[in-house]
Formats: sequence, structure tokens, C-alpha cells
Amino acid sequence: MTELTLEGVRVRRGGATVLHDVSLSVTGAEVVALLGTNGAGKSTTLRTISGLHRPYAGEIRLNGKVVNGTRPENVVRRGIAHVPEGRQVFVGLTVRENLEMGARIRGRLTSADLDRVLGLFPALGSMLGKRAGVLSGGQQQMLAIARGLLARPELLLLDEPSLGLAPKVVDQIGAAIGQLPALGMGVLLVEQNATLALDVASRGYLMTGGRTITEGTAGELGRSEAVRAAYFGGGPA
Amino acid sequence: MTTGLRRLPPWLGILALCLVVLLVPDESTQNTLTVGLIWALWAASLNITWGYGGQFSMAQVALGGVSAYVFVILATRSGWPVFLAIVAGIVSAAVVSVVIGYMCLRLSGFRFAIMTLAFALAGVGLASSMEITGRTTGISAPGPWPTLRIGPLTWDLNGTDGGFTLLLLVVFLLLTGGMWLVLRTRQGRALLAVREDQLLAESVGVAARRYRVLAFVLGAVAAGVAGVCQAQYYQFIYPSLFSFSTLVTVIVVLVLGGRGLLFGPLVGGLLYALLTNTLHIGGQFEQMIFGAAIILLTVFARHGLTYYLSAAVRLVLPRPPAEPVRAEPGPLAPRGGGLTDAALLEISGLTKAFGGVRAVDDVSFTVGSAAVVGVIGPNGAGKTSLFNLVSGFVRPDAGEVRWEGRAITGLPAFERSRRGLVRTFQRPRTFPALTVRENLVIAAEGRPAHPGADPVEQIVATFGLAELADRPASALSYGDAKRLGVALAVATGARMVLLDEPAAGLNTGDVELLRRDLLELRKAGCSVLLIEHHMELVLDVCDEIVVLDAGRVIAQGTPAEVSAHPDVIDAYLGSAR
Amino acid sequence: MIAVWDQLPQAVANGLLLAALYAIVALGLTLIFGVLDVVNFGHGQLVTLGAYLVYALVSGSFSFWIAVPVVMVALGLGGLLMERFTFRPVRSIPINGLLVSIGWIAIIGNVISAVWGPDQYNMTRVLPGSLSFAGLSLSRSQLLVLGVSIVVMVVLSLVLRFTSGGKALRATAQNREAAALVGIRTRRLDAIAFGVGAALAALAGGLVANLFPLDPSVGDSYMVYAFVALIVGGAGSAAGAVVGSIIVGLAVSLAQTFGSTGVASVAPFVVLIIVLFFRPAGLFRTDHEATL
Repeated sequence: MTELTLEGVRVRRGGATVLHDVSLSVTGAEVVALLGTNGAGKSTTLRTISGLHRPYAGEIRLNGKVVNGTRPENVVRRGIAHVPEGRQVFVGLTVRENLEMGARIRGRLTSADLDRVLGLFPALGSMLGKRAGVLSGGQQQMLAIARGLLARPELLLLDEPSLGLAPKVVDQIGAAIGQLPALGMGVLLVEQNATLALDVASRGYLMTGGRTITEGTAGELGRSEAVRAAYFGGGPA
Repeated sequence: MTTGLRRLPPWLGILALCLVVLLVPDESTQNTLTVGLIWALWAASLNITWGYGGQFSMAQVALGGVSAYVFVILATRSGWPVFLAIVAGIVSAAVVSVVIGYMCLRLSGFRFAIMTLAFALAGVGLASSMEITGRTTGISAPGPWPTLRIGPLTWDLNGTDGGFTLLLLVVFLLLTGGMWLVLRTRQGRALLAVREDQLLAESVGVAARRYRVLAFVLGAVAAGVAGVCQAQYYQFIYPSLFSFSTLVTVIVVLVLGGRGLLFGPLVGGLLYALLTNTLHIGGQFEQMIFGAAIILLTVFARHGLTYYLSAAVRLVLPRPPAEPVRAEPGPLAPRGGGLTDAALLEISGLTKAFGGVRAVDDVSFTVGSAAVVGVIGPNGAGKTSLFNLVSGFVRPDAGEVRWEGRAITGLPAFERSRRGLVRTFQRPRTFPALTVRENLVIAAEGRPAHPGADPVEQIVATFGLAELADRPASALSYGDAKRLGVALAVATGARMVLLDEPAAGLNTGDVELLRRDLLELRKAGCSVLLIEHHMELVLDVCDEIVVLDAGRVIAQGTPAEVSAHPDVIDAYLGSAR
Repeated sequence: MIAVWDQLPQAVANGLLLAALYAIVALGLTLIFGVLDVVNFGHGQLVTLGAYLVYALVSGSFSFWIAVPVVMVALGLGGLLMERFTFRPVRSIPINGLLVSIGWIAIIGNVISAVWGPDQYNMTRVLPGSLSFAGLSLSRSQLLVLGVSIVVMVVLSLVLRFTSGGKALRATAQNREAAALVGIRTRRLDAIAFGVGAALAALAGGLVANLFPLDPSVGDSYMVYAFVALIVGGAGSAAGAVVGSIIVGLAVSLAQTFGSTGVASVAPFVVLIIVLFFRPAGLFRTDHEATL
């Protein structure tokens, strides 16, 4: 089973250290939530795993092998797909072409691939020939996740999939994420929406100020004073 | 003493150059100097528009051509006195540049470059086809200039004994000195601010568009001078003298010498002339070497030679430790009247859609004097879009913004800033190449003169920036840059600051400082509209909180009311299932 | 008035033939700009170099039909290397790409002058003579340009639309980071885009050599007009580049016929200035989102 481990990872951006000490692990078929407020370093952690940033200290290990500094196009070939924040679909390509790009590292987009993806996101079915730029925010998010899944990764990095979406769409996406471990895929989920994240995750980490400070099961984190403090400042609620 | 020494080298160099010009009548040296100085003048023109104004203009040489043609035609055909013809030439270059400058205002980066190139090539095309400009053949200049006599001294301006070279040197020094003076004025600093960051400049009250045109016009005046000198040197002008290949050389010269540096053009021009006149390995090979040099400089040493020369000088003669300016952290007196009960900012029905998504949807609320109002909501709720609308960076589709009782919905950002409504940015923006103090000086420029302590030093002290005041803003850490962002807004003397996530990415100690600053601001009578995710801070400092979700206001009230509101918990922590 | 109507069809035909040549250059520039964000001012020098190399091979008794592909491959490889060693290191700041390309102008332009000198050369033309058709006189070598240009457009649009690599290229132009995240080797595509752009410049050069006498600045005007076409159309859009080329070609040809050579040399810039004044992003560019 795939295992991704970060140990003491530090990242500098524009002269300032933005990740001070990130340690976490995700194994095989589980959803792991990465919680924290804006600026805590969650997205940077995902971007570092997928090779968009390079750590200056610490280790990223995939199945025991150090993979620091691997370029993003090769990280995905090693089985880690990243669905970035803000959807980032190819707006000028059709929905089908976007999906083809997702499957590209394995070859062509087969009809079996397409069936599987449309099973998770039936809403995309009628959109295949449309330019991705004309889709709604929720549809773009589904497309972005579907594109990531088509790489058939062993691990999916999901950054804020609920961002700016209507509650109904959030529920749909949450349900889809919940199905992934059964398909043999681990998920590292970054989410502002703590309830959603802890709902679908089995474990999680809390980040503040570029550090992973707490670790626990979803239940533990849901009751944790630290999580409450990070989101609501420990004030009256 | 040491400061004086540090200032010496460029002036020593200039003095040496004057001596060479006067004492070495060797014709080939004279020629090298003359050619180098003409290139330096052209490069100085590009340096003003690009190096200081931040706009890569490809029209500089053509603007010089306008001046050259006007000068030659007026002096030869219309029989104007030479001096008047020169002035008319330079003025017409400036006039043409105003027109082009305004037409190119909406463009930046490479589109600006190409548009200016289009004007330049159209100009060359015109000159090649008109009778009065002698078509492609060209026309003769009015001949030698008169000799100046001042008492016993005579100055032959055409002189083979170096008179013309000396004239060029004097002209270059006047131009450079002029620029040196301009950079020391408020307008000059605004010019640099716009180069460094146009949006930030507007947010602290700089009329950025006006300064972009100014940079273009000042560059055109210098180009006009260069054009006249070129015409006088060659005694004959024709269109290809002002064409693309000349422009390429001017760019090479400036990049070689260093852009954004006063003596960059001189170093580049002289070096260029020296190498081309002494290498004698055949014109093409020299040009190839310069081509390679420009690539290597861009790849490895993008500041240009002058930068490294002066860095080396600084290494030998280190900068003395700056005399610390002491100022007490004091009250941050904002401008405008005292405390009133009237609403300072009234927002009503504000709406903005981006491609079908309503980012801000019918938002209304008011902010009073000396109030701290928090704007919270999940990511993507429309908070930053709301700030963009209120601060004037984006026009709303519907709704109104009133400030001190007057509608300001149509006012540009810099006008709002000047009236005391100032925003910061989520990603910290600074004027990176300028020092922290220079950053603050620019921001404080619009503030009415206030008796007593220097406002800049006071803000430096209040925001704990004293240690960093002489460092370039680009060297600040993320947290310090964010602090500087807030300090810049406050430095304008704002009556209300809009702070966009000032605590994001700050460590606990910095957040504590920020809390103190916010309370200090309120005490000083300055209102704060605060977007923030750091709930502890928001609940602690805000008098009132507005909660946005999906572009709409879903709750509004005191911190206690809002944090107990079920919709808020729902929007923030997500629907409890 | 009657004379005007008589001249119009020929002027339009000439304009379209000019447009065909501009389009080849503009498509190369568009590829480079779209994928790399580099404004390659050195493109005109590549056209000139292509023209001289084809001339040299043809004078060395190679067939024109062999010389052109050979030069395309050679300059294409040269383009790959230029991208790898001079443009890639300055990627992060777009204006630096422009400076590097100006460096290349000085290098390539002067290599040409050093090797061939300022004299004019005339290549032995293939397809001499002209055809008469419906009262129009069309030179056969210009019809060749039109044919080649149409083939280039068709092939390029098929490749971009239907091949995996073409789609990956479009994906990279639209969102480089997302492209890397799905496993597209973006750096390799940078080099390929530059190589193809350079090869298209070489092709245009070969066609120019078959039309006009060669001098060291023969490619300059094509680069300049192709730039105008590119920006009128909307930088980064292939369809825009073609439409822009047609507009520029017609502007030049109509101005030549009904004005003078002077007017003709100014006309494309007037068109550009008018278009950019009203649509700063060009005619075809609409998917540009303001970010703050």
C-alpha cells in the first residue's frame, strides 16, 4: 500500500519561511483532513508535495523513498495527483479534452474511464462537448476532481473542493470524496469547511503558522479545543 | 566625511571626462567620446521612461526623430533662428508624446511596447514618404552652430577641438541633473511608486495614469534633445537614422550601463562607443558581441554594469551607519474633522457579477467614525470583491458608496484614497526597490502638513519599523511586509482603512502587535473595516461584524450576536450533518 | 470612380496573397507567445536567415523543394536550443524575454551581414510566371505561398485540435501550473513551441526568397507586420493571428493600390493603433480575467 510521509518539511517563499515544520503521513485507502485557517500553510503543503515548491529542509518520502524536488509532471507519474485550489480547469478546452489531459499520463481516455468518472459526477455527462470555461463553479470543481482521478493516482491531494460552492453541490462533492477510499485511493483533503472535512475523513491534522500541531481521528479533532480555537479563537460560540 | 567620499566617484569620473574632452584633442578619442555621449543621451531618454517610469517604450528614437526633423526643417526652410528651432523641435517631441502617451494608457507590458513601436514605425513610414522630410533620402541640417563668447572665453560649439563634445557632455549633465532633481521632488517619488506598483500607488493616493504620461513625456523631452544632437552631429538626417536598428542599439546601451541608474546611460554609451571604435574587428562582429552581451546580462546580471560598479565602490567605501532618527510612538492623528456621529461610509445595494457569478450581491451597511467593523465569511464569500468596490479598484454593476455623506461611486481609487478612504491588499504589496522609509514618505505625501513630529518617523516608531527603515521593502519578511502594508495605509492620514486579512500568515507575536495597532487606530479616531479569518482577533477588536456568504450579508451585529447566530456557524464550520 | 472598382479585385487578391505570408510568420509568433509568453522580436531575423540559407542551398544546386524542409529542420533545432539556453533562464520576468530576443536580433542580423554582406541576391525562382484568372493576374510563386499557408493553417489547427500533444500545448498555454499537475512536460513543450515557431519562420523565409531579392533586412517587415497582425487578432489566439494577417494584408495592399507606398507603410500601424485603442486585448481575446 502506498504511503506518503512528510517529516519536518520547511519551505521558503519570497525570502520568508512559510512552512516551518510539517510532518504528516497518509496511507493507502483513507481520507486524511488537513485543517487550519487561511495562511496556516495547508495549500503550500499540498503544493510542496506535488513539486510546485521545493522544501529546503525535511523529507518527503513516498513508500520509503525520498522524493524531494521531483518536478510536478513526475510527481503525478508516481501516483500522486493534485487538484489545486480554485479549480484551475483548462478553460479553452472542452470538458472531454480536460478529461483527456487527466488521463494523458496513462494514454488515451477510454470509455471505461469515462463511465467511471461520470458515475461519480453524472452532471458532467451532458457537458462533454462544452468549453470548460462556460461551466458553473460547481461543475468546474467536479471536472477538476475528475481530471485528477483519471491519472488513477494512489493518492489524491484535494485543495478546498468546497470553496465558493452552494451547499447542495458541496454535499455532492463530499459524497464523491467519501467513495474514493473504496476505490483504493488515499485522499489528503484541505478544507476550510471543517465539518465537511471531518465528516468524510477518518483522521486529520491541524495546522497553524506553517506547522502541523495536532493529529487525531476525525472524532477527536471534532471535539478538540485546539480546532475550535483555530477557527473560532476560543471565544464565545 | 565618508558620505562625501561615497558620493565622489561618479563626479570624479565626470571631471576626468571633462579634462579628457578639453585636453586631448586626439581626433579618434574625441570621436569616441562624441559618439558615446550621443548614445548616452538616447539611452537617458529610454532610462527616464523605462528605468524610472517602468514603461518599456519603443518610440523613444522616433520621438527624437520628430524633434530632429522639426528642428532641421524650421531652421533651414522656415529660416527660424537655430536656438528657437531647437526648442520647437523638443517641444514638438513632447507634444507628440502626450498624444501617444494618452492613447497607450490602457496598455502595459509588451502591448505598450508594441503599440509604441507601431507609432514609431508609422512615423518612420511617414518621414520616408513626405516631400518636406526629403523622403528616404533625407535633408541637410542647418550647418555649424555659432561660437559662444563670454568675455575672454570662447566656446566653439562645433569645435573639432572638443567644443561639440563638451557641449554634449554639458547637455547630458544638465539632463541627468534635472532628473536627479525631479527624483527628489514629490512628483519624482510618485513616478517611482507607479513604476514599482501601480495599484499600491493608486491606493495611497497617487494619480498613477497621470504619472505614466509624465514619465513618457519627460523621456520624450530627453529624446528630443538627443535627436537634435544627432542631427547636428551627422549634419544630415534620413528616416532610417531613427529606425528600429537604432532603437535596438539604444536598448543595448541602456541594458549594458544599467537601467534605473542616473549614470547608467553614460557608462553604457561610452563603453559602447569605446568598444566599437577601438576593437576594429569589423562592425558585424562587434554587434554580435553586444547581442551576446545583452543576453548574458539579462540572464546573469540584469542590473547592468553601473550597478555592479557602484556596488563595488560601496564595498570599498561602506555606507556609514545611518543616524537614527528618534521619534516617539505617538497618536496617529488622522486628517479631517473630529469625531462625529454621522456615518462615515455608507454602502447601499452594492452588486458586482463576474461572468454570471454574483461575487457581491446587494450588500448594504454603514461604518461610523472611529469604529472597527469586521467583515467575515468563508473563502469565496465576496469579501475582497467588496473591498475592491468600496476602494474604487472595480466598478460596481449596481449600488452606491457614500463617503462623508457624498456619493463616491464613480471616483477613481486614488481620489478616494486622498479623501481618507484607504485600502490594503491581501497579498502584501510594497514598493519593493525603495526603502521602508521611502515607501512611507510616498504614502504620507498627500497628507496635509501637520505641525509637530514628522509623520513618517512617527509611523516608523509606532509600527516598530525603525530597525528596518533603511532596508529595501523587497528584503522584508512576509510578516513585516504585511505590517508595512498597514503602515502605508495609515501613513496617508486615512480616516478609514480597509484591511484585507492583515493577520493572515502572521505568527502569534505579530498578531498581538496588530491587535495593539488596531486599537490604537480606533483611539486616534480612525475607522477600520477589517476582513479577517483570525476569529479571536475579530471577536476581540471589532465593535460590529458583518458576515458575508455567497456575496450576501447573512448576519450583522455585535461580536456576541454574530458568533451565536446559527447561519454564521453554518456558513463557517459548514452545515452540521 | 470606375477605375477604383476595376482595381479593387486585384488589390484584394494581392492583399490576401500578402496575408498568406504574414500568417505563416504570425502563427509562429503566436505559438511562442501563447506558450512561453515571450515576445520574440528576433523572429524577423529568423525569417531572413531562413531566406538566405534556402538561397545558399539552392545556389549549391539543391532543389528548392529539398532546401526548404532542410532549413526548416535546422532552424527548428536552433530554436529549441535558443529556448533552452537563453529564454528559459529568464522566464519569470516577461520583459526579459523581450530583451533576450533583442540580443538575438543583434547576433543573427549581424551574422547574416558578416556572411553575405550588404549586396542583394536573387535566387533562381521556382514556379516563375503568372496565371490569369477572371481578369486577375496572379503570380505562380505567390499562389505557392497561398497554398503553403493554407496547408500550414490546416495542419496546425488539426494538430492543436485533435492530437494529444496539440491539446497538451493548448492546456499549457491556458494554465501552465495545472498542465504540470496533470503530468504535461511543460518545459519540453516550451522548447517544441519555440522550435516550431522558428521552423515556420524558416518556411516563410524560403517563400520570401522565391519572391523577392534578398537583403539583410528582408525579414524585418514580415516580423513587424506579423506582430501587428498578432496583436490586432489578439495575442495568443491562432485564429486571431490569421484574421489579423488578413486585415493587415488587405490594409497594405489597398493602401498601395489607392494611396502610395508611403501610405502603405503606415496603414498597418494605423489599423493597429485604432484596434488597440478600442480593444486593448485585440479582436479575438476575450477570456482574460482581471485579477487583483
